[in-house]
Amino acid sequence: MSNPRPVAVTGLSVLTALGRGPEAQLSGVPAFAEVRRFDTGALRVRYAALAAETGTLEEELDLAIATACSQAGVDRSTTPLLLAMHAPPKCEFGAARIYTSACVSGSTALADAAALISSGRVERVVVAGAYLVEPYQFALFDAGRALASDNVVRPFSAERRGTLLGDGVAAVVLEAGSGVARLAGWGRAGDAHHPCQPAPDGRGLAAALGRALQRAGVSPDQVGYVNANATGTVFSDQAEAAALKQVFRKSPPVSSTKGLHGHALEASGVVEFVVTVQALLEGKLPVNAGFLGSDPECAVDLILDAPRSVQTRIAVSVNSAFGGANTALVVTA
Amino acid sequence: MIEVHDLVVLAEAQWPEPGDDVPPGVPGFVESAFNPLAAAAAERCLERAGVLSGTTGVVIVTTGDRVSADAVERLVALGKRVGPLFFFQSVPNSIAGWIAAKWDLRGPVVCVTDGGFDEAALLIGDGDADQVLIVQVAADEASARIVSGGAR
Repeated sequence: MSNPRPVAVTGLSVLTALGRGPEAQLSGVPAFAEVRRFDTGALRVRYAALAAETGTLEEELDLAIATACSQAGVDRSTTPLLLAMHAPPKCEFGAARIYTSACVSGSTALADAAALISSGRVERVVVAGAYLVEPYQFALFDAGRALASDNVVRPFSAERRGTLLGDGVAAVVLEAGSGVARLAGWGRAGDAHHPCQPAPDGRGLAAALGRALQRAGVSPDQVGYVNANATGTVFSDQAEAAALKQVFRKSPPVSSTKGLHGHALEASGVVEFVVTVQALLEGKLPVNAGFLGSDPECAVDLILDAPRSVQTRIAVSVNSAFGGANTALVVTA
Repeated sequence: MIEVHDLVVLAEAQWPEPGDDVPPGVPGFVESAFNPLAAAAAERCLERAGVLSGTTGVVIVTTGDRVSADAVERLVALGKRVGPLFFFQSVPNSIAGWIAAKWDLRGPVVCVTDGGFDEAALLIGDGDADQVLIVQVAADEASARIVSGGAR
């Protein structure tokens, strides 16, 4: 078997409520506001993070792919596309595969793209995820009492009350060779615990993390930042903290940027990967917003109050989803 | 990497097969046949496979649970609240997690709209799974296969 090829990040594009482009994602100010896009009269919670002046989902997806491919200098018509969405788009994008794995859709697509490139199967892949806040998922999350009744996402914090949805459309071009950053390792693993609750010991996420670090040839103490999945929900954040504790003897700096841009569901893995790459490129680690106080069950080194400077240019972006699905992506820059 | 044609089918099953009626209900899943069909085909396949060694992933192949989605759209259009169980079954991951939990399958959980064999080959070839349970779910039937990479 030939040696694995390095997987480079050569194009990035993102839209969230924080703004357009990777540079806009590190502002540090939460973007939640009352939803006016559709009627929320029957709902318990009415807040989300909505981007200004968006097109349709398909228009934004098309723009994100075009922007990332342009930055990378690749021809999108000959570049395989992996999509992460709740359902197939209304118009044909020519996707090689569409991932509907809930909140690990985007990160699974990135892991799969990296595997295809690393093994020499393809030269480049564009991975795109898209979610714009709409009435149906909003109603479902409200019905499941998963939304924060105090209108704030408080990842890992005491008194956290749930998550809030957020617009997120992002695209990443991965290629063999060199680029602005590397996707150096990836892992995917399951909890085998419950249809929609995480294993309390975080075993699946710990397994995915271990696999990703091993593939990257990185030891846990070399990791300088974890972009956490933490959604601001009680059990999920606890399980994630347990996984981080299993893998890291001493916690690296951690933040969940869902406290800023909200939860972009199927697109979240791609959005948060872009945020993680940008944090390394700027040398500035984003804050874990909404923090009220420590939860002893979530004892990780949170980046509070102000961004921190990067100490090592190795970061991990982790995601978890219903079904006990977990992924971890190791980024170096 | 593993090619699709390298995959070895260890077991397969469908629901319905001759003599089958409606699939057994799955606790916590309501209204739609989507999740019971997926569970019935998967469990029959796992029973036929016997003991699996190593790590088993789950790949669900579907364009979605249209019955549940339509029910939610109707309720939202009427300005009514959606029942909480619809939240938990709003993504195919949930039934994948139910199957994985019951059978202690600790490999990756992936849902795709097509290309289940390609995804399985990729997960096995990449080393995150030793075998994969592929469950393809349509409106009134489901099929399941367990595949491994075979001799390498």
